[in-house]
This record gives sequence, C-alpha cells and structure tokens, in this order.
Amino acid sequence: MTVDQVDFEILPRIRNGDQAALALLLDRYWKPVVRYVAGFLGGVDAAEDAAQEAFVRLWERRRTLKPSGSVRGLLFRMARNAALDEGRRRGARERADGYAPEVATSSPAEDLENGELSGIVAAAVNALSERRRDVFLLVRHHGLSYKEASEVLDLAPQTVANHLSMALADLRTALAPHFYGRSHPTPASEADSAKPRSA
Amino acid sequence: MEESIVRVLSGEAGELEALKVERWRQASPENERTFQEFAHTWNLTGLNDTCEAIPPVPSAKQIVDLVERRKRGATPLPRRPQWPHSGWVWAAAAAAVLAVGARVWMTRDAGVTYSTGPGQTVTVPLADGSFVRLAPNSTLRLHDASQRAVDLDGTAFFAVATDSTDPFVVRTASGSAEVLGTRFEMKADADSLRLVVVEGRVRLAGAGERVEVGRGNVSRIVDGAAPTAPQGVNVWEILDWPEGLLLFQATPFAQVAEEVSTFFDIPFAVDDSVLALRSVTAWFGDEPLEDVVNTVCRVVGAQCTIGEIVEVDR
Repeated sequence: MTVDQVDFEILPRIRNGDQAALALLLDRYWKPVVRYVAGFLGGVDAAEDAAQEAFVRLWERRRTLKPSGSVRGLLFRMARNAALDEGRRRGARERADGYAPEVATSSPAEDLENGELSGIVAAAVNALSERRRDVFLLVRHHGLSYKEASEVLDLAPQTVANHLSMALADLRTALAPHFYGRSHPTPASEADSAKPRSA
Repeated sequence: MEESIVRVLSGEAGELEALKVERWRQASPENERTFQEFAHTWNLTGLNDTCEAIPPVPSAKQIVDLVERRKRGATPLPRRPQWPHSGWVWAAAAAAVLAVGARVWMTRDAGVTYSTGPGQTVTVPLADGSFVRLAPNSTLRLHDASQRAVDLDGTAFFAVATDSTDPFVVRTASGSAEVLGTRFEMKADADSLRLVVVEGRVRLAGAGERVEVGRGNVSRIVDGAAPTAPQGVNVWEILDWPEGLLLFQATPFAQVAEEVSTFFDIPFAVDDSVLALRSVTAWFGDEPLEDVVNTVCRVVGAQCTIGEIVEVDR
C-alpha cells in the first residue's frame, strides 16, 4: 500500500475522530517526523516535543483537514513549524542567558578534504543554500513526493522541482573532485538560476 | 534536461519524460556520462540514518488527552529543572490527567476537588511537581494555589516533590500527615486512617500525638486514637493497586529498578554506583515494560537492554 493510499483511507477516519486511525498514523509517521525535525533542532531528544506537537495540532484541526490532502505532508509541515517555533524560543532564551552557540571548527571545504564518505557527502549537503537543502532533504532523505514537499515548504511543485534539480547539480559539482576525477563549472548563483524557473 | 534527469531518479517522471531522458542518454557518450554522474550523486547522497534512538511512539490516547487538556485551558505543567530528559515524561504526565473520567470541580475558595467513582483512578500532577494517584471511590481536595495542602477522603498514593521550606500536608477526618518530599499511601475514611511509607519519612498526627513513619513502615489511627507505633512491613504486599504504583519522585535509579523489577517480574538491577544514585521523577499507568524501562533509563542517561533480564550500561 502506498503512502497516498494510506492517507486516502486514514484521512476520513481522522476527520471523524477515530483514535485507532490516529494510532495508525503515530505508528507510521512518528519516527519519520522525529528524524525530520531532529535536523532543525540538533538531535532526536530536542525533536520529540516538536514531533508530538505536530500530532497534537493535527488532531486539534482534524475537522478542517482536506479529504484529498497528504497527511504525511501536513504532519511534516506542522512539525517543521513547531520546530521553528522552538528554535526561535530557544534562540531568545539563549540570547537572554548570554549563550554563545558553538562555532564549527572546520569549514565544509575542510570537511571535504578531511572527511570520509559520509562526512564528505554531509558537508556537501550542508553547503547547499537553505532552500535547496530543505527541498533536497525532504525528497531525498525523507522520501516525500514533490507535491508533499511543496505542501511542507509552501512552494509550488514546480519550484520544488527546480530547487531539487539545482541542489543535485550543486552536489554533483561539489563531489566531482572526489568521485569523478574532474571538476564541473560552478553553477550560476541560486538567485540567478531560480528566477526564471520558479512557479 | 537536468530537471528531467532528477525527476527520473526521484521517481517523479511520467512515461513520456522517462522516454525523453532515455533517448537523450543514447544520443551521445557525454550525455550518458552526465546522466551517470547525476545518478551516482543521487545514490551517494541517500545515506540518512541517525544513530540516535528515536523516542518511543506516544499513544493516540496521550495525544487526544493533550488536546482535551488544552481545550479546557489548562496551563502547561511545570518543568522540573533536575530532569535531564524531561520532555516525554512530562508529556505522559500531562496526558493522563483525568484520563479515566474522574469528576473535577472548582470550589468558591479557588480550591479544586477530584472525585473518583467505582473502578476509576486518576493521577493528578500538582503545580509543585508532586503527583497524586487517587484510588476508586475517593475524593481529593486541593486547597490553594501552591497545592501543598490537600484533604483526602478515601485512598491515594502521593509522590511528593521536595520543598524544604514548604511542607506538604494531607488532612483526613482522623488525622494528618506532613512531609517534605517522599512517597506514601494514605487510606482514610471517617473513623480510621492507614499510612504506608514507600520512601522517605512522614510525620503522622492524630489525637494530639505525633509519630514519624519511615520507609517500609505502616502506622494507623483508629476511632480518634493516637497513631500506632510504626511497624515494618513489605509495602508491596500491602499496597493493592491493580495497575501498579510506578510513581517516582526524585527516586534513586536503583530503587526505581527494584520496583520495576517487582512489578514486571523481571530481574533489573543497577550495579553501576553512579547510575544507581541518579534520580528519576516520572509516573506510569498501564505502559508496557519496554516503555517504562526506556523512559527511566533515558532519564538517567543509561543504556538498557531488555531480554531475560534488563541489562544496564552507561
């Protein structure tokens, strides 16, 4: 059964207040949602509250859910918003406490020089622009469709396609010296290349 | 073409687009090499597995109860700073307030009364971080904003947060108990009172007399007489709560493990002296062994494995 089929069957039950359907959603999406927001908040412990908040908000708003929508996309979006809220609160607390965040001791380029495979790839992904990284992680690492990613990030599906294409081109360029034995031309800046393609 | 290649790799391309990419690849060796490099990049960047353990999945009931609690306008529960990983534990506490249908009402002096019927229990987290589990057919009245003074008619188990400047007082028709921070059960009706102390010490007063009751001891007040001298007992044989009494209030991990071991009938011992002294503040209702062990181990920063026994590592 595909994700879409699952959502299609579960959504009407959620709208009707069926707690067994909510349990099914928790079983299916708790781990993916925690993993997703952990990327914003620096670890799964910190992600737990935001993930829980996503399911709470979904249940609170169940009667207004669109019957044809993607539950997974909606959960990821709610979790993202909760994580961003938490990030803002944490930032305010840290500023109030005079907290100074840790500063990375090496640049992504240095990581590329020093790291092993996973470190090299992670450094290249982290070096993507924020929007390209957001899109790339949702589609590549979390398995969302373009449509779901567009719902999470409030973008047009075509804009998601553009950003993903540019993200992979950036990664190909960044990883080329390590895996292809030659470099590629540096792509145009995101602003220049995104304008004519964004929906 | 790059966008179409990525659509093919991500499974978003339709048949026509896939065919277009296929023909483009066949058009020149350079095109094929470009495609292969995109595909290689796509495969390389798919590594995404966290080594961190994912927190246990909350139950649907916990989510629904949280929503209901918000609807009632309840304020968030206090977070106790001594909890190193408190999120889930507090969430569980918040979720189970009034979970089994106890009645609750406000009184004119701003107190709150909880009342359970036959077969009902309720766990009430108080503003100071204490927990009270109320047995069936019992009534608990919270007096003031600090909630460090309560009236009890019936049976309740208390896990009282330590506050050296503000004793916690339980009043009944037969006498009262005063504590600073401990766990105990009180069973009271119009004519009698029984106190069972699981952890810490409790001062029990009645008929102008006062006794101190320590861990593993019981004292009674009957028909307006003074409290009986404390008597050592096996508290877990006396305490009769079908769903158990896994309520911990700054309880040493070693003792938590001992009680979980007794309740679930599985060997669970803490040999590490540092871990043994770390404290746990949490409570559980009908959670399975795995959830209980995972939570308490996470609170103290231990790695626990459940098999024939529960193994504990730092």
